[in-house]
Amino acid sequence: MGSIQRLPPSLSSQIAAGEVVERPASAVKELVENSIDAGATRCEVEIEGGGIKRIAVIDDGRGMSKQDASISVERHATSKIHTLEQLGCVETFGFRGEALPSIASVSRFVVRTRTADDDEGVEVSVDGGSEAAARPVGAPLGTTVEVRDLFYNVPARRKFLRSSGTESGHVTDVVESAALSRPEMTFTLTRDGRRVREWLRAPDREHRVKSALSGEELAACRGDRGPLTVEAFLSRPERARSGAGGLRLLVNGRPVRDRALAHTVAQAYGSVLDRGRYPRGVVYLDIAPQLLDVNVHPQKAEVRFADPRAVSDALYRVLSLALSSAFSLPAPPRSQWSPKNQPQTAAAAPSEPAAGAAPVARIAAQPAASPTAADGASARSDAPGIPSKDPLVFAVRDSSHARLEQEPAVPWSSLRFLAQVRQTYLICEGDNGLYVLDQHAAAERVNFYRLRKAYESKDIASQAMLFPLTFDITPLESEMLEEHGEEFARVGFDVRVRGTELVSVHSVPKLLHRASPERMVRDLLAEITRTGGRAFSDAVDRALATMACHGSIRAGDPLTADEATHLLRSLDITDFAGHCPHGRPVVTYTSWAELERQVGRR
Amino acid sequence: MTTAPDTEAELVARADAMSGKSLGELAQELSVDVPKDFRRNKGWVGTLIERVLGATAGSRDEPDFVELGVELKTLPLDARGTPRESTFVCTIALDEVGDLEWEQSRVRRKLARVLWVPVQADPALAVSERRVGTSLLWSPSEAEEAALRFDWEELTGTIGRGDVEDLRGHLGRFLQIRPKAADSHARRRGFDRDGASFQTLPRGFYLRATFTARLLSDLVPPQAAP
Repeated sequence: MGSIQRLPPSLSSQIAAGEVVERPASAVKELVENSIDAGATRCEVEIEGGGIKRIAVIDDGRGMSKQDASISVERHATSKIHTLEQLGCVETFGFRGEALPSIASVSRFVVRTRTADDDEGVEVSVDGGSEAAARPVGAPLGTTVEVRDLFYNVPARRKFLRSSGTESGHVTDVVESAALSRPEMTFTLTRDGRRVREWLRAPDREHRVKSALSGEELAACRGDRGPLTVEAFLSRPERARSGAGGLRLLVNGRPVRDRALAHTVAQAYGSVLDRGRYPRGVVYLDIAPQLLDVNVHPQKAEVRFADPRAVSDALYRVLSLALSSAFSLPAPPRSQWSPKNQPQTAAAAPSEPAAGAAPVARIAAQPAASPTAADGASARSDAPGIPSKDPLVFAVRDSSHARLEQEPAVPWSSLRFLAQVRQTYLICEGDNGLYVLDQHAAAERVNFYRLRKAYESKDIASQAMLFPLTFDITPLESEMLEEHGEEFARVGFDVRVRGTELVSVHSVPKLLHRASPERMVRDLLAEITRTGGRAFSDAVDRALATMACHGSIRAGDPLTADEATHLLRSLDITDFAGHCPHGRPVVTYTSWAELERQVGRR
Repeated sequence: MTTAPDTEAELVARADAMSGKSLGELAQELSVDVPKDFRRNKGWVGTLIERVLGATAGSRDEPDFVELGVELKTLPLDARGTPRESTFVCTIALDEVGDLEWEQSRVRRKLARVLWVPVQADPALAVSERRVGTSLLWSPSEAEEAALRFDWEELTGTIGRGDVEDLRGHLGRFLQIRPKAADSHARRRGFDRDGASFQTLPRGFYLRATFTARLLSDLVPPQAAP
């Protein structure tokens, strides 16, 4: 007898299940997605012992007939696709026919279901992947799946599970993702007999995001480019956190992990977000299913785009355009955002000119043309699910169709400059309250904006130095300079290496003539050295921010009224005017109402 | 010996390569000694720069770069980057200048195309440590030429009507006339109001420091680069 033997079906099922069902949350995810695919309007999730002891997912979807219920626990049995072509344009969450048999093979599994056409329901039980047993039962319309003792027959897997609290947390995350995906559905989560979360049916994504991220001030960004529609609700830059954990990405309603897209979202904030920090919020991408492959990850947590770069470009353009003006003015005091005062459209709340609310730009969406197969998407594919690139279909890079309507915030120039205090702060009066600007941060933002615009148009004006400045550098810096002389020239420097350890600066960016050339060059060198010189363009925002910082009005510089007024006017044409290029707020705001409350007038 | 540049571009490139270098470095390149001071070496800096750039005219009454028609002028600057003194343009033929028009004047010819070379002249710096600045190849703008012409006509008019002895340094907004001689015994022939000739000090046209300072205003001065 040879050493290679066929595994018994029960064992191979358990091994296969390991890919789909990693922990209770994965089982919940599969079951909730089935509920969504079944057209449910309500989905109740109950867990006990972190979902290890018991999971129940109850929906009011269309249910299954007796025959479908019996076959549903068999591997690769699905109602969602029937042909290879359909795999190329999957619009349901599930499609592989793996979820139920996988869960059933590692638990004590019961499904009870009834369709509207049937008078009685059916219950199918599977115990650790054993033969399915079906019997008629009385059941409400829809489906209830109950999973007990998960991994009871796979001790190796069970011992890697975390505490019930941790597993519950993962389940909450999964249900919240599903809720964000389908605002038109009601979701509830009950943990150990206690209802802990509830997402009532919402009219749209914005309301759903508001309830999921309550207390967070979010900018609503909407736009479409080619076949891609973007709808995002993102936090203020100062609320960003390390890692992308607070940022949810949903592609065609499917929650996905995608580091590149998360990075793009962070990049759209420009330099106001430090490297490695990501905003909180939710980003919805909707794209023709033909341009997307969802069949790349066992748990379908990742997707592959036909042209990921174009998607990234489009996302960046839509978000950066919207975000650049969304957070120009400071957040009002928290008290003004109490539910009583909170405008109905919470995600766009900052934009609502409600009494006392900070007037932040409102971004309103144009209805986006939904991408359809009629757009010309080709179903032919080299790999299953991925249509070949068709530039006509996905020509979004040069698209000028980003449709964003922006309602301007209160113009900075409408603020009346009152006084400069401590030669650092500019006190200004607006119609709604008192504004205190950090003069350096404001000037830095203006200079940064101008520099970046000039950089983008390859038009950073240089100013020659009367006497070139000479200073020592390290041999490594000398090499970097030799290699990146062109990039230095692009940002307005004429820097010449005059030996292995000597450099002379002959020209500096005209906007920053007041800054120390040596300091600016050293900072640029530090940026290049840090990136290994591979991608100066990646570091350019940071480099320009540093240059702007050195070349701007500083704390301690006296400012005339004219100069202060000019600075306010300049902020009006500047994006992200509410933050310096390093992310610090430029201004704080106290409404008259708040002021009156503080002095006891109301 | 550096040969004369064939084109303006070559001249500018040489000046550009020279900028930022110290007088000591340039002297070393040409194997010349650096004087401790200029008391007995007046004109040393100008001569050094001429040699580095390949000027050919020497002391002849021609542009320093004859083929290019470019005059070379060094500009000694103080620590703040301000010209320390006025700039000599040319001597005056007192007996002829009253009959000339601006268009034929030596001043106009001399200033038609100038390579200005700023040089540090802060007395606190040793001669060898003083650096050469960013050169500027210049021709007067219409406004500048009009201003120079106005001054020139005022000044030469004074000479022409026989009042050369009335000329003082304060006359002329940008252009002025001052004695220009190796010593106080030098004399040239002048004419008084009656047309009678007499011996007087040789005189020359100078550009005021305010004028040359304006030429440098587009460059970042050293105080902005601490």
